[in-house]
Amino acid sequence: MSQNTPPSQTFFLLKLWRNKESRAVIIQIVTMMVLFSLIGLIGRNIVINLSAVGKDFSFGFMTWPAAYDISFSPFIDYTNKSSHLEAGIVGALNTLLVAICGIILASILGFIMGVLRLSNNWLINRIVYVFLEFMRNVPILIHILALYSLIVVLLPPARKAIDVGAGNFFISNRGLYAPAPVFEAGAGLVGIVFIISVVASYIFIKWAKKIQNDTGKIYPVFWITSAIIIGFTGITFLLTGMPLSWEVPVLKGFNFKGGVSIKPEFLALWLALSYYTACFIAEIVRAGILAVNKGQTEAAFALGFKVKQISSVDHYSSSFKSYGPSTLQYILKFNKKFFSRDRYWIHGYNSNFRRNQSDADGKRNGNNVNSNGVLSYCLFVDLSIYELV
Amino acid sequence: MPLEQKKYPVGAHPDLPPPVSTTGPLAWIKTNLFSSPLNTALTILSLWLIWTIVPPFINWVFLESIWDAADRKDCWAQMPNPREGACWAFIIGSFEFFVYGWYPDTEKWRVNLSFIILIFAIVGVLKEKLPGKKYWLLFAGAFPFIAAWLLLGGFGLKEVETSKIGGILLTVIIGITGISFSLPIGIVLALGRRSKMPALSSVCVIFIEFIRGVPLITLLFVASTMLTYFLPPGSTFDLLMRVLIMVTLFQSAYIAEIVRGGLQGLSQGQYEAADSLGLNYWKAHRLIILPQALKISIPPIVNTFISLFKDTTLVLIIGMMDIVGLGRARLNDPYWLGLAGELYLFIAIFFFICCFSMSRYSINLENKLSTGRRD
Repeated sequence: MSQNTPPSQTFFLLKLWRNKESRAVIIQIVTMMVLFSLIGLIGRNIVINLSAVGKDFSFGFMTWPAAYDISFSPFIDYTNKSSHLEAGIVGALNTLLVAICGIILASILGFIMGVLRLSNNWLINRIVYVFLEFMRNVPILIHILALYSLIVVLLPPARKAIDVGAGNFFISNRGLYAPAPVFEAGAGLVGIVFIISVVASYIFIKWAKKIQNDTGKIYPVFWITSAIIIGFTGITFLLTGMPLSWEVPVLKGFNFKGGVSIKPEFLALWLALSYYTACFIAEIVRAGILAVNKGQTEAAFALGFKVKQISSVDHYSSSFKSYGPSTLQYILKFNKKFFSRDRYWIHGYNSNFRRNQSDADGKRNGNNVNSNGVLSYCLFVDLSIYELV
Repeated sequence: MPLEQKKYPVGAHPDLPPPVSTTGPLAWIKTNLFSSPLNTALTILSLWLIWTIVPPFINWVFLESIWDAADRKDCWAQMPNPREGACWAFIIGSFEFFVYGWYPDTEKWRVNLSFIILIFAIVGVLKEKLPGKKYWLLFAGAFPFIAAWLLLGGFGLKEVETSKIGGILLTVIIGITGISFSLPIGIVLALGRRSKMPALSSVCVIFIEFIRGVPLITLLFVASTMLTYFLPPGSTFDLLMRVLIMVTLFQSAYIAEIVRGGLQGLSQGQYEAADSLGLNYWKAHRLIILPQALKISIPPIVNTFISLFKDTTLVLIIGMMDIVGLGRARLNDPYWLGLAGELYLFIAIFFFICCFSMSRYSINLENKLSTGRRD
């Protein structure tokens, strides 16, 4: 170094850039600046655009009457004068209903199909394989629409409904008619006893497992818990005078009266979502069962377990560990699809998004409904639901 | 056949064939179909199922179907038993409509040309050993822009509004655009998420988790209703453009997670080897890390592409007419009322062909790649 040149401004910045830590700081500062300016720009655009159209961003529209009808509202009385908030609640409840029913059916079907896919029987194996591959490669929307069209076109009208359950269940192109349970006084007590016996049997299962781990003594858990649940509930049921009767659907004129009618929209949605998800769950189940080491099965045989015990204890418990998380993830994704399925809108069966869409229409009709508020509310609610789930 | 009474020395007798029921077709039937009472019952049940479903189905689809008719009444008049056969004349008559949407007739050669170029681009990307692979990849990278010019017009070609695009053309546009643009964005997001700089990584994490927590329909609704408010006053954005942006963002979050998994699957030794060679961050990633990580994550990436392709049908809900939308519009045409079965079967077969070939490719790729890995 023969000359001492004073460090210039650019030389200093270059040194900052060359140094790893300071470069990281510079990049982060620049990123944050870009991000915040983007957010600011968007915010400014929103404010300008909203004020140009004459609306403000508020959640006050929640209490205004919604101007549309919701055709399927089994839990809450809903008219087109109820508020948007009630519409939202109806939508959420409908969604939950379909979700729970669908998850139950999908899990059962998926498990059965997954096990069948592994069967030794070549015919069953291939038939299930063809079914799975075809159903998985076709989008779910098409399944729902096709099933709905099939129900509406192929099934007979209500006057000629097919009797599928000895005079109690009827199926027609207006839906499935089933007997409705009528609970009289005392049914609440039966329900409470049922819940208590379920909890008690859960505690018993935990205790029996602990005993098995400690001493090796195996209790016949299945029989004992069945006895507890069925026994106690049954005794209470009998003692309170059988507070359950069924209201059977009866054909009167052109339609059925009484009983519960399950609309073709609900049927199509539920069945299509169930068997579509069941296809994916079947693959997960199959992967889980195959993932169990063959050596484990052989070791279990060597230890003298009977075949039945092996399949129930060994395969499914350890394979559930591998397919449980992915199934849960798939059920959550399935839930997500449920929450988002605007088939509801197509068929008049409502959920959060139908309400959303109608509000957007309301805006075009000049009803002074704030569609932005709706959308942000929807996004907010849905996000919190998803993050919770 | 007369028994051979020839005497053989001990141990020199030629081998006799095995018993008839232990090899060959009989043995296969016995072990696979009738090995136990339960299996026998299941076989009989499945044979019964096939018997009740397949012959009537084939009858409906092929034997009694009409392929050439003017409208539905004409179709049914030609059948010996009306409604017992499929009226494929409906699909054939509307086929061009389903494929091109409302694209102007004089310009359809542009769609055909872009489709042919698409085939070349796909082959260039997917085929393993090609001479001049670099040029194929460059061509594939330029393809989206060439196709956009061809399909939408401008710079010498007549302009076509995006509202005229529908049907299979729309599905393929959304699918291909979503796939090709989400991959680079997803890789960048994954690298950002793994970055040591807290600002960058937290921004990427928030973006990815937000998008993954929300279903595609929500984003499509945002695109169709709210996105215009985000833009400067007075400017409008095509609905198709907004949908493409949302689909790409949605897909890139999922790709980011997959690539992140691939990056994590790489052993730490690779990073250290890159450091020891004196490579900086970008060179190390470009030359060493990313090729391996992407190779690992190709099968899950193809899986998300398949589900993206299937999810393109969701645009029906925001009012865009893809193949399902056009089909349903045609169903309400009084000439063709009520032919829902033919329509949905056609759409199902279209999606099945596309998605099944993609998944076969993915399985093929997985097999090829797994033999190449050393662990």
